[in-house]
Amino acid sequence: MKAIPDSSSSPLTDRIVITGLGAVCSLGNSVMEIGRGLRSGKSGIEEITDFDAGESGFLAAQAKNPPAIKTDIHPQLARSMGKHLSLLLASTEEALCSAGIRPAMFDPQDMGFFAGMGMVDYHVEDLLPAVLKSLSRGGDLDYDKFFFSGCQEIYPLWPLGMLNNVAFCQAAIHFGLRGENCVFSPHGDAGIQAVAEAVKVLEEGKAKVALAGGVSEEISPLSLARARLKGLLRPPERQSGAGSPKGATAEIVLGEGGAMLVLEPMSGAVDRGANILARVVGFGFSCEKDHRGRFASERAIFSAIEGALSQAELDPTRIDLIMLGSLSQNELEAVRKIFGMALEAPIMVATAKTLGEAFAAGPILNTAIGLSSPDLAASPQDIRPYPPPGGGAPRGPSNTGRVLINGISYEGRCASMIVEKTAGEIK
Amino acid sequence: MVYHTRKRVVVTGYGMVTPIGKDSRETFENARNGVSGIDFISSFETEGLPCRIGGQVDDSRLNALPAKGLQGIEKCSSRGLKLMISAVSEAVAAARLDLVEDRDRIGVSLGYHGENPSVEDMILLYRYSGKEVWDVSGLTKNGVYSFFNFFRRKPDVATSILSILFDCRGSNLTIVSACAAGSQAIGEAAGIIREGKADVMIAGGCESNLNFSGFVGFVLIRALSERYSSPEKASRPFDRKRNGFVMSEGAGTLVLESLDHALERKAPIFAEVLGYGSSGDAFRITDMHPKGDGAAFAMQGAIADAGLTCADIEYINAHGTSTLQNDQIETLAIKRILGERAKKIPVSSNKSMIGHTIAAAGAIEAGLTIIGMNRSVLLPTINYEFADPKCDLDYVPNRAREMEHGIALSNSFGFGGQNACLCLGKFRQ
Repeated sequence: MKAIPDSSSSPLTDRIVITGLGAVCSLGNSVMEIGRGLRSGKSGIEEITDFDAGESGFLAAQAKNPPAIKTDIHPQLARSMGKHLSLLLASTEEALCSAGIRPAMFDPQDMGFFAGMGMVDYHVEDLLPAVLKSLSRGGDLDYDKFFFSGCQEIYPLWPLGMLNNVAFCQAAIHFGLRGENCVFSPHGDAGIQAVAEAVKVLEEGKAKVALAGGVSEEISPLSLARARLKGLLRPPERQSGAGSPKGATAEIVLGEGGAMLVLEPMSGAVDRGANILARVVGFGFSCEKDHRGRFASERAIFSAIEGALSQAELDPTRIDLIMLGSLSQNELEAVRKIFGMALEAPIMVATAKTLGEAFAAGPILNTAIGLSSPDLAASPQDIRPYPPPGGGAPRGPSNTGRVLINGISYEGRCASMIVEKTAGEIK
Repeated sequence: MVYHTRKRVVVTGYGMVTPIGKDSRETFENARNGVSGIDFISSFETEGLPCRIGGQVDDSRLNALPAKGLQGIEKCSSRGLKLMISAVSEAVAAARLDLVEDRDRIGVSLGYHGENPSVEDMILLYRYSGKEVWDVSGLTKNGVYSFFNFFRRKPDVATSILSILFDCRGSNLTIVSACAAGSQAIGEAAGIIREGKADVMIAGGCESNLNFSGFVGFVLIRALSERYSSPEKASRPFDRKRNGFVMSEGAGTLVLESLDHALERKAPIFAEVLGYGSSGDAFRITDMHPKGDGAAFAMQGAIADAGLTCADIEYINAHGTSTLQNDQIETLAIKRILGERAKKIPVSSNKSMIGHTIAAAGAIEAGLTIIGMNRSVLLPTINYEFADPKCDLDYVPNRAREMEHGIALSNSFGFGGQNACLCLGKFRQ
């Protein structure tokens, strides 16, 4: 048992830095690969291939082949967690590796773990045996059969695999992370909440290193139905009618991804000679739905950005790059209100155009992209869909030092985070 | 980044709805009298299942949705959320939160997992996947599958609806860490206030798993009590004849506030959140760490966060689920933390009367701990009849005890290995 730390010595003013990045999404299985894909103008949005979407015509940005990480997890449980687990494991492994953190380098109790986890849905193959065994002659469910025998066909851990935290706990087991932890759910704001919590824990001296990030939903018939019925996806015929996948004009296209940051106090990172990629300098949060009930309101997004600028003690002119969290007009209007008067406009990037809506993973993916891509100003217009807020020319690639990242929920919540690049290089 | 001096966080309101009470007063009085809320389940057909008992909340105990012209919200509201609305209504009334003008500085932090799919849901979905291939076009057509089913399953919808109903426009988060979620929601909310990002947070948890798909998973992993002479005897934490937990539903809420803000508006102050600790077992998905590492780390973290030592702890509200494993390992962890003092410190489990309310448990138990501190009452662990040599602490057996106490821990250990502990104190200026 470790000695109890003296809480009065918590380094509340220590700066927290990012020393590792990991990401997996439709454009690749590493931060570098994703960055290269973006710069070359690739789109991750294609026809759905992971399951038979029939004639639906929906497009999506699926993570096609996330790296298989060997674990001790029972295959049936691993299957019930689906891509949640593989995306989380792969992005966490890359982040740890990029930070140069090897097993046993830290006491597991000193390693915090925080994540925003997307919704978990059923897999039809997990349910079908139970249902098929419980059908009456007329094809309806016979409840007596279901309760007496059908339900025995359900894999015992299946219902538990639907808890958002189970994949997270499996990853904690795999990497031996035993420090402070929390799971937030399920949209873009959740990823930033995870990072904010990690920063707080590090500031208070409750951990020496923390992993914080997010995982999207797995794209499935149910996730498509949920987004469609919420009004976030256009009817399939209109989506498929948009021509090439790259030209899809749906309000959103679902995307899959996982992304993870390694965070440490500056002092600790310097002591161990870590590669310091960025400082985390501010967060802001708010909640209010717009009148249509689909997005966070412009007022709420404005308030979250303003909160992050205030905590970072920055005025808007000091922001060089904005990683938009959505394709919503509310976010654009909020950004224009805050940055519209800036003499020099920050570059704005909306990766959702290419990577799809990656929910809790979105803002963390964007952080990794913003920190690893020095030349986003020169990236294809596809991911820079809007004119700069001030109307002037965007700043050059050498000036992307401070990055504002937004995470927007479809239930009214929004979060903003500001990171400040340092001279470190992505390894 | 500008970090201000850590603010003190106090509790200015609490509320709950449980199988033994429509509010915190009734729940506490019944718990004080050792009343069990466990009975045979009537909310769904349990014929043929090895466990047929649970702690249900009587519908008459639920407040109607606040009449704010938002009745449409009812369609989106899961049972868990309805329970939570009742608990929050009580807590915000006690805190007189309606008098606070700056609603941007009030946030919501909720531990909740969303509603489970019903069997009818499964069948409907089966029809759209009858040949082992989903009919995606059919499934996504309006009128085929109600969006409200999805809506009730999304955990963040509940938090969002609470923010609308109670006009809270500040930080808003949903925590999904199984049985630790309620405590983590309170711990995270306290952190947000400490940092100065909110003046007030409504924090707590809710759960309603007494339906087939919520229940069957725990049946299948044999976590529920299957041997009992009568339902009210089934939940018996720390007793040698314990054989599993009893699933219940409920909700609990605290209104947390910075001390400065509470004093300025002359709000009632019931307690202080002194510290919070969390940890991961990182052991096995269905088992606790055999030496109680995770549980011990969480308690240790909460005590350190409070700036206290183990010698300051006067009472522990245990996670105490009535499973063989939890109660033995929690006992071990308490001994590791308190050492020689462990046997002198009263430890009791509210779940002996209420059952296990999963994400709500930590919040309900934090509320009961606070009431107990203010009334100098230790709630009992009922059904404690047969001593277990491996559970050898003072569990306040069967009868409530009057005892002045000012600092307590409240434990919550989640499925999967997420652990949380709150350190609560009687308010002292």
